[in-house]
Order: sequence, then C-alpha cells, then structure tokens
Amino acid sequence: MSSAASPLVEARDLVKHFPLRGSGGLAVRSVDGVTLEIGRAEVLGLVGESGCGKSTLARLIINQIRPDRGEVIMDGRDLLAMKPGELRRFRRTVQLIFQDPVAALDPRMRLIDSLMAPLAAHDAGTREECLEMIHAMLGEVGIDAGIVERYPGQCSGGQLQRIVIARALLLRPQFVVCDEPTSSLDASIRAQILNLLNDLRRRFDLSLLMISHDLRALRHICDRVAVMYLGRIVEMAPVEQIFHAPRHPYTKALNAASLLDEIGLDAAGRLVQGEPPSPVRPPPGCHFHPRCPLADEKCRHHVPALEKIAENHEVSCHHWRRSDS
Amino acid sequence: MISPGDTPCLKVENLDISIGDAVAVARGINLEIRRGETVALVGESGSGKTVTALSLIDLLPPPLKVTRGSVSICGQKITRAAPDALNRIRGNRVGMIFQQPSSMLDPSCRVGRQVGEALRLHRRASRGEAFERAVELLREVGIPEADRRARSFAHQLSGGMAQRVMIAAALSSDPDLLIADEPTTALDVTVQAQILGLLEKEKKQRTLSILLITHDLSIVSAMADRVVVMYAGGIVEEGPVATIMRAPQHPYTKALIDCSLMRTAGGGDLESIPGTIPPPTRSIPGCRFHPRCPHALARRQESACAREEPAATRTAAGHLVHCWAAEP
Amino acid sequence: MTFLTRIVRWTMRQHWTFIAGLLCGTTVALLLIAAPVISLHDPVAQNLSMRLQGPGGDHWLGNDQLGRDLWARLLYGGRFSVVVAALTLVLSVTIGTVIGAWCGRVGGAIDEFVMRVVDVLISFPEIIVALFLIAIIGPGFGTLVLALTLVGWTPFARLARGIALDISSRDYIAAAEVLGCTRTFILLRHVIPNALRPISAMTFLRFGHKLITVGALSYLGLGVQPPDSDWGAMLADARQFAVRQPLLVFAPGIAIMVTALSVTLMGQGLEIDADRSRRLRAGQS
Repeated sequence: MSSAASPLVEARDLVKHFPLRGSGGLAVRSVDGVTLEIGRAEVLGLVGESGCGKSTLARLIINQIRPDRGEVIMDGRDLLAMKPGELRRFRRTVQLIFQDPVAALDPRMRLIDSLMAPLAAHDAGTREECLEMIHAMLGEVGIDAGIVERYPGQCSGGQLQRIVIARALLLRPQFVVCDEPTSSLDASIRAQILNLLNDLRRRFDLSLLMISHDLRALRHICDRVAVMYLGRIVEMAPVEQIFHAPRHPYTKALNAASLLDEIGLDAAGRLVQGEPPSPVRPPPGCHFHPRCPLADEKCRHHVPALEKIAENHEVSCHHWRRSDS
Repeated sequence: MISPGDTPCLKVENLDISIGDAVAVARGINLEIRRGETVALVGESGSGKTVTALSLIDLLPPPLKVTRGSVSICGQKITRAAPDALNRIRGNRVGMIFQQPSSMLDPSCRVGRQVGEALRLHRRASRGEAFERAVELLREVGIPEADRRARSFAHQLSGGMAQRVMIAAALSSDPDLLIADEPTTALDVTVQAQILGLLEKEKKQRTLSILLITHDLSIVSAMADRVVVMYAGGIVEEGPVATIMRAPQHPYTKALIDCSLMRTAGGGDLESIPGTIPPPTRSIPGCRFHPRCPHALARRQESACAREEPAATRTAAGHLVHCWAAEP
Repeated sequence: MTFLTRIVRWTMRQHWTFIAGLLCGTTVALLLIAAPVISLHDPVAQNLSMRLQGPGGDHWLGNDQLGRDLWARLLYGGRFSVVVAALTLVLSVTIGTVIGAWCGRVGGAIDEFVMRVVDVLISFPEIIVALFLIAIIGPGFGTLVLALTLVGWTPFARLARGIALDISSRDYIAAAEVLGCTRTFILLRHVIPNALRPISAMTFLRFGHKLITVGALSYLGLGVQPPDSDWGAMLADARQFAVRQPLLVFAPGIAIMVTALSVTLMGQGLEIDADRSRRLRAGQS
C-alpha cells in the first residue's frame, strides 16, 4: 500500500510507434515520450485533435496495448511487469468508457447479459447477488431497471452510455478512462452524461482521465488539463489556467476553436494556420512551428522541453513568455 | 439570369416529408432565404434538418418523399419539376457541400477534373477550359500550389483541403444558393474556423445565400444571419441570430443553447434537458416537446400543450415561435 | 407454444426467397421422412415383367430397368443423398467455425499456419480427395462423409476467421477485454453469436453443392453400394435407358435440383436479410 500523497497513476516517458508496412522503416509516431501523473480522486483532461495520439496514450496507460518504451506505475505497482493472471485481476481497478456506446455493447446480447458479464468474469457472487448489484448501480446512473431486458438497438444513445458507465463502475474501479464519452451524443444528452460523470466521480472517489477534442466539454469536470499535439504533451495546467491563462499558442488556438461564438471566425483563424501534419513525418524542432504565429528559427530546429513555469503549470514552448500578446 | 431582388433565393412552403405515405418525419416546414443571407437550420439528431435539406434539391432517398407543400429556388419550382428542368436548377442555381468531403470525392478521378465537371456538363466548357477554371477556383478557395494540387487525387488531400475542394466544386457553377450540411463536423477543431471563414468570404464576394445545417450553436452565432430551430420533425422557433442567442423564446431553443454552450445551472451542474430525444417516427400528441418541456404551462394537467399542436406566434422580438406559452 | 410462435414470427419477417425455399425444402424433407408410409412398394423388390413401364396404376412414376418402383426408389434414395450432404455440412460448419474463429482471435503463427493448411486443402477439388480416400479405405457411407468433411470445413474456417477479425476490432470486444472477460467467454458469447448469421447463410448455400457432389460420387459408383441407391446412382443406372424411358433420368435429376434449389433459396434469403439489417444499422449511425 502506498501513501495517499503519491499519485495513483504515473506514466513515464511512454513511447509507441506503429510501423507502417512496406514503407521502409517509417512509423506512425503516435505517442512520443509522454510523462504524466494522475492523483487520487483527480480528473485529468487530455485534449487534442484527431491523430494526436490521445487515444493511444489512454490505451497504453490501461495496458491494453504495450508501449515500445517507458513505464506505467499504478498504485505503486509496475503494470508492464505483471503476469497475465495478475493483470486480469488488475482489470477490476481500471476501466474504460467508450466514445460510441452503440459500438461498445454487443448488438446480439441483452443489456442485462452485458452487465452480468464482468461480474461473472470476476466471480463477484451468486446470480442473485449480481442482479442486486446491477439494480443498485442502475439507480446510481439513473436508468429504469426495466430497460435491461432490451437489446442495444432498442435504446437511445444516452441510455446506452449510462449502461456502459454502469457496466464500468460495477467492478468498483479506482481509475476510469473516458475516451470522448460524449462526442457521439446530442447536446441535450451530452450535458446529462457530463453531469452524471461529475456526480459519480465524487460519490465513488474516482480518478478519471477524460479525453476530448473539445475543451469546453472538459471545463466542468476536470481538475487539470493536458494538451497533446502530435504525440507530445505541449501544456499541462489546472483547468482554469488552461482557459484563462494558456501559455502555449496551440492551447490558445484550441481555446478559440471551442469558443467561436465569443471570439469570432477571424480572430480564431489568425491563431493557427494550416492543418495538423502527419504523425508519420512530424516537423523537426517544435512540432507546432509550421502552424504557429510565433515560430522563429529556434523553433524550427530545437525541440522545446516541457518546462515548469509555475506550480502545477508546465509548457513546452520557446516563447511562452511572449505569448501573452 | 439575375433574379429580381424581391424573389427569395429559397422558399419552402408547408413542406411535409414522410416515410412512404405513412409516417411523417418532417411536418409543416416553412423556410425563406433572401439573397446574400445565411440561414442556419439547427437541431439535434432526429430533428429532420437533414431530410429537409435533401428535399430542397429533390435528393431524398426512397422511401422518404415529399407528401405536401412546395420548394422553389429563385422562383423556380423544384417539387414535381421535370427531371431535366430539375437538373438545370441543380446545376446552375444550387451548390451543396457535405459533412464527409473525402467520401464525396471520386477516389479515381483527379481533383481538377471533378471541380470542372459541372462546367463541362452545364456550361458545355471544353476539357481544357474546365480544367483551367478549376485551377482558378482551387486558388480562390485557398489551396496552395493550385495547379499542382489539381492533378492530385482525393486521398492525397487532408480533410480540410478536401473540404476546400468540395467548396470549389460547389461554387464552380456560380450558384445562388449554397447548402452546407455540417460542413466542419468531420474536421479538426483548429481547421473549422478556416473553412467557415472561407465560406464567409465567398458569401460576401458572390452575394451567396447559404443554408447552413448544423448542430453546433457556436458556429451558428459566428456565421448566421437568421436561425431556424427544429425539434423532432418540426420548426419550433425562427428569428435573427442575435436575439435568438440572447433571448430565445421557445423553451427548447433556450435549453438547447444552454446545453450546447455548456452553461452551468445552479449547484455547479451543466444545464441539460431531461428525458430522451424521441425518434422521428414516434407520434406525440400536442406540442412535440411537451414531455420534456420545463415550462410551467406544459407541466400543468389538461394544458393545451398535450392536446394541440401550437400554431406559430410572431413575438415582439420578431421571432416566429411555435409554443402555447409564447406571447405576441 | 411461445417458442413456436416466436419461430413462426421470425420466419414471417424473413425475405420471401427464404420462405419459398423453406416451404419447398420442408415438403421434400417430410416426403423423405415419411417414405415408408407413402411408398406402396419395396424399393429393392424386382419385378422383371414390369421393366421400364411408364407411370400408371399404383406405380406412380413407373418402374426402372429391373422393374423396381421408381417412386419408392426416389424416396429411399433421397434419404441417403440428403443425410450424407447434411451430415458432412454439420461437421464442416462446426469444425470450420470453431477453428476459424479461434484463429482469427489468437492470430500470430498459429493463425498463419492453419490458414496455409486451409489454402492447400482448398486447392484440391473435393472429388479428388474423395477418390483418393475411397481408393485407400474403400467406398461407403463413412468414407463419403469423411472425405467431404475433410475439405468441406475450409471455406467455413475462412469465413469465420474473417468475421472474427472484423468483430475483434469492435469496441464491445475491447470492452469485454477491459472488463476482464476470458478469451473463451469472448469467443463463445461475442464472436460466434455474431458470426452465426453469415455462416448459416453460407451453410444453406453450400448444401446444394454438397448434394451434387454426393450425387456425382455415387454416379461414379463410389458412393452408396447396390442394392441400396441414391439419386446419383439412379442417374448412373438410368443412363442406358434414357431414350426408352426418360423419366428414369428426369426424376432423380429433378429431385436433386429441387432440393438443392430450395435450400439455396433459403440461404439467399438469409443473406439478403443480413445485408438489409446491416445497411439499416449503418444508416442509423
């Protein structure tokens, strides 16, 4: 047992490259040296555009895929050194909530069977005990118990996402990764689910890693936010800092993109040029320099280190001091 | 070819769209777009915004069909028009861009040829002329090295570039009306503003009318002049963008704006709408929104909301509101 | 009763080709099962005075070259053909699905090896393998089933593997893994149930093919041995008398065709329906 002060999850220098077949050694550099910590009962947001490696990073952290390099420590134990049996028991403590609840449930299984499967897999008790646990959990996520006799095709997206959340929480995990849990839902349902996650996280003392491409969705639930660009973390800070005093030009661009209504198209368009480059051949130096309004000669050649500029605030930019302008 | 100033670019009257002859998925749609105006059609899934857009150029996939009402573009009637007349209107008056640009481009055909295709078909341009014009268009929509890019294939383009190509293709026939169905939903968030900015620029240069279909209200307030809000197959509110965003009068519009912009309610929770979105095929008596409506009138027993569909009321702010609680 | 009504309801929802095939196929099956009741004569009893007689009296389809009742021989012969075809098919489907789905899930060297074996087996026509086996262990019911199964499982293995690979990339499999479900559970509860529909469509489609192969082998004299008979052997025997009594050729030929066609129709109906529901699902999302 480790002390309460130490972080629950520690990822150190994680690297994962996916080789491209028949390309002569080229690889998709999905995650390129990421170090982060998630505290107990803390919610860390991970934000970035498609292809920046945020989903890969999440799957590395829960050990669904193995990294090329680096280590993941959870609750003081090295995940990568675990044996298969140990790993399966460990699965109880770490869960994943998916982007598309329709895809995350087997269309040919009744919801009750999908809910029962993890309990059966971990020998959580007799059938009656399991049913009782499921009914209690359905109450927690605000679902009418009658619905579980149905198949996924007979329910709405919002209902299914509640079922997926209930299924993940049934095993009483300490740490839950939410991979864009609301991006496939309509606005009115999205708010319900975000409220639910926020509520559950307090009641179950959960640590969450919330992945999103929309900063606005993270604002109400996260304690800290990490911003990812082409496999690297470019800024990490408490949520209010990210919104009110972002230092990295990319964070500013993301911020503007999620607040188009307040900032306006012209201003948002000026903060960033072009499109994200391919993670197969990322630009040298700072990955963001071809799109950055502040880029100069230094940015083209030297990779900026992730620099600690204040308590809890790290940024990887040569010009973070200049970026107030 | 110039239409008189007072003819609206698009006029939709009392449009009903049904599955076969039975179930209505959109009812009583009235819509008007003036020249040079951007109108946003806003709604969640199942609101009927996409079928409405498709019906405007007679592209409804069967068994969906228009069962009542009419659509005219620049004074020319689309509904029940002869196929070649329809083609002429589509080719000369309307351009359309879609959510997934990469799937709308033919992967085996060079980009320049696709952009010039409409010119070859509708303007009888020669192959060389069409290609030249295509390069010009690609340059206009901000594609760097347009003459080289025109010779590449769709899969060699990034998402943002592909959407620019789609816009160039839609503009090639010099249309009066551009229908944009979720034009930036599939793109990266930092590319969104660039594409929307491009649409805005083209609109000003060409006095285009734009029908923007989207679920994202932050885009609406950055782009649109007027907003039409749909819920479960019907229009609930219509009005100028500034007053709709600031002072919505239909309870659904208000709730949708609150949860789209993630405003917080009391107690730190986000504003949300209780319940689920009804599928478009479900029949609901009275106002379609009343089972989820927070307004006191809808909560009262025996109120009109549960019995009768509300008629449109023109309010003081100039909104057209379909709600029993709306005051003129 | 509820089970029966559920089956009836499910059937009524299928494509019309499935229902047509089902009606036709059930009729054939009932006739074959009821053979002892509805045939008035012994299929092997010879009556040389009735040689090559046309239909008439209580010999509904007439008599063959040895004066045996053609109707009775058709019914009893069909039993053999259909049973061999059905049995090999059941074995092929079971073996193929399990091996294929398992390969698709584990991947790696095992998968690579098994799939190369499948490639080799698939390149031999079933008839050649059957001829080879019959040459070694002699003709008969067992040999026939063994020979046809030996090659017959391979297309099912390929299909099941493809489906397993496709299903493996779905989120609900990732979810099951994260939730700590065992490999066997995932294979039995997620992969195979989702593979069942396309596999059953293919099973129906292959049945006709099997029936014709069994017929061909018997036609070559390598299937059922006299005095028993099946449709293929009946065709072979009738060859010389085709001109004098065409019905001797037409009856078993049509029987093979009708049976094969009805089952194929069922398969096609299932496939159309699977396709339709897939498109419906895709349209929703």
